[in-house]
Amino acid sequence: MAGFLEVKGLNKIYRSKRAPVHALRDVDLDIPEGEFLCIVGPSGCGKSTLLRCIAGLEPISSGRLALQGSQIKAPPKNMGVVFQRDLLLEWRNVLDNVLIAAEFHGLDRKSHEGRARELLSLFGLKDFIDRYPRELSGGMRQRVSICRALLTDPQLLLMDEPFGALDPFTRDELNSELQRTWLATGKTVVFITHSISEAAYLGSRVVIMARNPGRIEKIIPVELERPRGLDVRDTARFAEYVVEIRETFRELGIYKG
Amino acid sequence: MKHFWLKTERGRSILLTTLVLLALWEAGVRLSGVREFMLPAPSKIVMEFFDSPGYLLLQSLDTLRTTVAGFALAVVLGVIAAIGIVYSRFLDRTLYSLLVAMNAVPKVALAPLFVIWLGTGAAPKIAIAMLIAIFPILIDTVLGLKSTDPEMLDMARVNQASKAKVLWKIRFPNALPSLFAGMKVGVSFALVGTIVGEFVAGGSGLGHVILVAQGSFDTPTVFVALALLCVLGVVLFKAIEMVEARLLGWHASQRGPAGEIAAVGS
Repeated sequence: MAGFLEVKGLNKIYRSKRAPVHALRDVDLDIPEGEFLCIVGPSGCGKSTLLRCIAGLEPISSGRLALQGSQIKAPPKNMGVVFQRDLLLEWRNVLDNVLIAAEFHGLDRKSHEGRARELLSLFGLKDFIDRYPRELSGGMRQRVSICRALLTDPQLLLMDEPFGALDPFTRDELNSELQRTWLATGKTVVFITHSISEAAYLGSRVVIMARNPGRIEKIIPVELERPRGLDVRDTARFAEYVVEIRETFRELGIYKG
Repeated sequence: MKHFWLKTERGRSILLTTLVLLALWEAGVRLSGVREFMLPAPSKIVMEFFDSPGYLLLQSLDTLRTTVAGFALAVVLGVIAAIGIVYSRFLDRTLYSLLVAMNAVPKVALAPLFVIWLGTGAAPKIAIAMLIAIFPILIDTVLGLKSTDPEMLDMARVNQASKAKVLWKIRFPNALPSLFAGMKVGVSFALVGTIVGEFVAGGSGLGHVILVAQGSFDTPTVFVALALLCVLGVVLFKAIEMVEARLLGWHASQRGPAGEIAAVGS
């Protein structure tokens, strides 16, 4: 049986006035249900493009891209996306920012309010429900956007460098909150990052991408038991994974040192 | 209002400057002996108003009504047209280009035409006020609707939002600051349009008062009408600012100096 999310021979070519740009070349990826998959790579390797294709925001040039057996042509219904920027609506308070997901889906606001409150308190925002985005810090804003993505209880969660703009402390906090949520719900997560240690900490597998053209170089399974505490990053086994990923980038010429 | 004048530094300096200018005007007129029909003294203008306050206020109200009607029509039609232009490539190419070209025509020059078409009642005046006010509103609204963050639209798309929901829940609130900027320019334009309409179509309003007074060299009355127009203009502008502050509390333009609202927690 094919995987939950199936990517086979995917190519994405941007036509431009000069030579066409090969953003993704022959990408193969089989993601089983419930996996936490991390994709790591330098900028320009097409990792965000791949995520946008999976999200149905970008048409593919060739190949197969299917969620639960059906071709992705438009944004699938049972999917939530957390973007690099929090994309909160400044004129709505925290609760209404989360509930907009229900409004957009054409679902009843009332019946989702309880779940929205639940999610917000799970992410430590219980006391900020009626605050406006401008009153929140960057970490809190991104938490709200995660709650928005989770509101409709999607099976697939796509995250595009969601913690890239946060300070290391907030990033650590959110990493462990995210792992906790994932363990509790068993959602399938595709998580994009440019941080090697973040990828190794969160991922069940780490996909290493290279650029020119954007492609998958290597897939490394991370066999550290869950739940992983933040201190797992100080262990020798964790270090081995980090070294292996970094070594791969070095061979690709991405690390010059 | 009393509080504002007396309490704030800004209020006090505005009040003081106005009083000094009026005093200079009064003294200048009295000392130079300039004739009244050339330039009446402020005291004479005030007295002129209290000669027939009821009539003048009624004419002001008439002007206000025409202006508000023309302005409201401009907002409604301007916003509807802007939405059409943003959503339809056809309208963008035809209507928008046509309107921009039309904007180059001095619209006051069209006033006599409206009298021919619509007669001499309130209709031609409202039409002229609307025509002049609609351009800044339309153009700013188009700009506001078009400048929606494309990632915000992606966010809506992955949440299965319909086109109508994207318009009302994202694009339109996002365009409100621009719409208000256009409305602030538009409301002053509507007043200009109304006065032009009253000059041409006659009958009533402060424009008509000015025209009649001019015919008999009744310069003090002209000045009273100008003062009332000034009050009308300020009141209309302030009214829009108040609505704006209400609706756009979330927008950066409505907040005080940086740091007034500090971020909480981490």
